[in-house]
Amino acid sequence: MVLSEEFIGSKDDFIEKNKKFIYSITSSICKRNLQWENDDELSIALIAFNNACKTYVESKGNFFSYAKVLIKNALIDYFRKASNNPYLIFNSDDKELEFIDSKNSLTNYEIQQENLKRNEEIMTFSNELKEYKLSFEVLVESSPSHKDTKDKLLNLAFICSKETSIVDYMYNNKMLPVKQICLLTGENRKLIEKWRRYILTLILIFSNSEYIYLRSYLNIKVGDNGEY
Amino acid sequence: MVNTRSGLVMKIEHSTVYLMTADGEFVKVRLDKKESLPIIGSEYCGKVIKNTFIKSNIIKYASVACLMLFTLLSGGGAYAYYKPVSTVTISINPVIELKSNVWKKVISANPLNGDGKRILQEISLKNKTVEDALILVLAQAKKDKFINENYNKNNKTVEISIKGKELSLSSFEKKINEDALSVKIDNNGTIIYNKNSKNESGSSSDNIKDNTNNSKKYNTDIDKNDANDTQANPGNGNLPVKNENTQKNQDSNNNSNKNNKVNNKNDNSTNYNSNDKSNNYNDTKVKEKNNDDTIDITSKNKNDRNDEDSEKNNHKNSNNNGHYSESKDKKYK
Repeated sequence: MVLSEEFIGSKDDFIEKNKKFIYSITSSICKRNLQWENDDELSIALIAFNNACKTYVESKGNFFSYAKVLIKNALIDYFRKASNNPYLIFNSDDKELEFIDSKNSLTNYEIQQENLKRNEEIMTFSNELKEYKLSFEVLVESSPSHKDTKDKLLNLAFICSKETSIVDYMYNNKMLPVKQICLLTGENRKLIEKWRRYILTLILIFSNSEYIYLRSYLNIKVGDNGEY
Repeated sequence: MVNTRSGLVMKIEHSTVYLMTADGEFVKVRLDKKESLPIIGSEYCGKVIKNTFIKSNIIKYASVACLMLFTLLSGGGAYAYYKPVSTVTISINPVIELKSNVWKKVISANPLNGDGKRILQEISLKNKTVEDALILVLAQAKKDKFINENYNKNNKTVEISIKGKELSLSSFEKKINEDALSVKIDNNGTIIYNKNSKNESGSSSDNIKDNTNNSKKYNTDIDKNDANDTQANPGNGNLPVKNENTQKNQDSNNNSNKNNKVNNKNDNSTNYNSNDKSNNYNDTKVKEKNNDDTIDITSKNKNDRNDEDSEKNNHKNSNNNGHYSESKDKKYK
């Protein structure tokens, strides 16, 4: 990818050219039509894209996949910080069709580079899990398969990852402050205790800014029943 | 549930790959050996191992099977244990019926008369071996004076009859051999053991009486019997003979022979135990045969011996020791 050549003209032009790309990603995450004039999400995505242009290094693989990761993360972060956060869901059906054009341009080498990045992330992630006495084997046993449960837990973890007190408690004590979460979310204590491992993992992924690739791999979308 | 899942490879272990799917699930998939090993962090698609499901199912089935096997075994064991295969009735005067299982353990003891009840109230026979139970009953009967000195004198016999599966009461027999009791063990109508406290060859002497009315012969017979008795029941060598016939004879014999014979007898009996022993065994065998009324013609020797018991005895005695022949000679005279 000869991105530097395209930068030669102007960054503004480059962003202008890729507005469509930004829009498609943002709307796919938000699951609705957006307007450049009214929606914060688009401006967040635009800033993220700009960031991607600034921080992009060749070694990080394909630019568009990198940009997509950054946009996604920026949006998720935005949702996290926004006072009225939407109802999020895991999306499993649409397989990133909007990405087809840029995917085709991914070379084998770039995929490898991307995988290497992810590999590093996963290594640090699994090491962090070990601190909480968790492993992927355990997570397989205790991860929800029902869609409703998953979405519920995703939102729960999302809300929790926003609360610095909960996250701090987690980092310090290496366990979930179940009581606090109960108070915050109004969820059943039993539910939280049952899925505590999964919730903990999700909170770890969301709260740590290192795991951008992991976070972006999770296909998080704004749900239909979101109170947006 | 979808059979194949794709996701980020988080961990690879042997033939399983741990994935994190895009919809936030952690799954375990089988590693395809044909394909190259995936790198951690790459995407991978594989068949889901329904590990938890299968595992729990196996455990479930195994536990159910184990439980069933256990109940079956214990039920079968209990059934086998509590199934009476043979009934032993012991009648001293108290009559007690013992039911035993395949392992010769008493599973129930019923008194068949009032005295039996009294005995059973004092001892518990359950789960003991039949032999132990019989010994216990005898001991208790002695304690309760059902068996006393008069018991033998009154010509009473402890009768033990076994019905059902055959039981070997060898240790019991050994035990009562040391005792001054007449014991008869009847196994499904066949007498397998018979012991008269006073007179080991009581039945043979009966025969003798039937065959010959020679009082002298009786004398010799009694000699022999006495000798046998001293061997079998060392304390009771001179106790009165059990059999009515012999008893009668003995009375007369005692009068006539006591003075000149008793001393000899006692001396001899100690000296010739070994010889007498063999005689005893033969005699008891013969006895059984006769009592059964199933005289085996093939065992000609024995029959012969029965018929001419006295003579034989005489011969034996003469062969065995000089004293006997002396006393015999005396008697013949």
